[in-house]
Amino acid sequence: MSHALFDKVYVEKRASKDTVTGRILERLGDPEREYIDHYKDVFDAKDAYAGRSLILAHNPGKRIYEGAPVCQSFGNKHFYYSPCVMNCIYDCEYCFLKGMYPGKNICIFTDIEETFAELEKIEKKHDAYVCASYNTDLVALEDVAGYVEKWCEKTAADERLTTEIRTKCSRTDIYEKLPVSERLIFAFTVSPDEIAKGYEKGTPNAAGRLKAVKAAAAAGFPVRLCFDPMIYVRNWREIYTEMVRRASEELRPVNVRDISIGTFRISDQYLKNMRKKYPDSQIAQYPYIIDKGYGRYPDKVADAMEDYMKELLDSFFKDVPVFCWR
Amino acid sequence: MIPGAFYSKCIPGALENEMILTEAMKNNLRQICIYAHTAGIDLEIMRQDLEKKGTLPARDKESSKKALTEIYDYVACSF
Ligand code: SF4
Repeated sequence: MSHALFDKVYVEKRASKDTVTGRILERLGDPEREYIDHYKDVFDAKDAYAGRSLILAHNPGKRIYEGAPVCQSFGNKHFYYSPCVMNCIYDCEYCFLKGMYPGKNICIFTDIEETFAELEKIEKKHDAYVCASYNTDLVALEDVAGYVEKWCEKTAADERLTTEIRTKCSRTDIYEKLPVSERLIFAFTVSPDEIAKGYEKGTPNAAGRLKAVKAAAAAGFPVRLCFDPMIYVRNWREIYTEMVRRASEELRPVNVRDISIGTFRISDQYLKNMRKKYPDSQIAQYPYIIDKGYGRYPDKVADAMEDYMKELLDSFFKDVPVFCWR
Repeated sequence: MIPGAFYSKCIPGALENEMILTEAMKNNLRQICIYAHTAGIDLEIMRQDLEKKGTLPARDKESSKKALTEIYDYVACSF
């Protein structure tokens, strides 16, 4: 079934003998594949928009990065992200990956154990908080990559590691099979249906995502709700009010660990690429204020939206800690 | 490449001709107009409003700057 996601499978020669590579190919039903020298030959190819290929490769660069200033650190001093997979099966119009990667191809770095080894070096110095699903949606890719399970195992084993796995996926069947840890946080981006339908192509609706929140919580994982990025659209007050009201109703029995809010922001460089690629996109073409290398809504808009959201949460999710990116 | 026709659709000449704009201001106005086009905001109605208020036409750089700020607020902050 998962193979239907990809038109073609490429395997870097040096990754061909990896256990992870073997397992992924098996999960995909032993598909035809083409062996390549370097993932960039396919990943960066100009005709990358023609379809979606899967590339299994080794990460030749850094495996753990310090978090960007526009990311929410949730009060964690040592905040990192890991690009263990590059690109996403969803197609959110506002996604920074669109400004970063040339096409739809997905590259899974099969040398995940190297990422973990790099992490262990950091953990020798201090605790680490890692966003593992930063350049992708790992839950949505779990049937192929199996990396949610890997990160759950790693987090349960390493006491100095806290991991966030962010997702928009509505799957409910994986959580009870995963090793539970109170340091493994599943963070669900919850969007109003109008936003999901209009700007988050391929993603599940709010009802599906809320069911997944319940499933993760029922399995014993801490859950985080992310009303982030909030998108400035004509009826934003109505749609976000309805979303929060609905979430509070659906999640009444759930112990939500915390909530993240934030209006849309994006690196200036990615924004330029996005505007070229999407000349008709309302989100890409918004006249953002460029501030310290990032595009953001003007204070008047960002303050109005974030203050409004804080008020909503104060009445619908009283006593749940709220983090705002700025 | 973005078709040139797309941009020319986005910048109503009437608006540009009623202001004294530097290149940087022109670029800002262009982006505002492109966004207005994608968001379905009617720039002609806005232009008429600004004319009624006396903001347009703007005769010098200072008043053009003020007009540009008002245009930005109207287009980017009005929802
Ligand atoms: S789900 Fe996240 S990573 Fe995937 S396209 Fe949407 S914003 Fe990007």
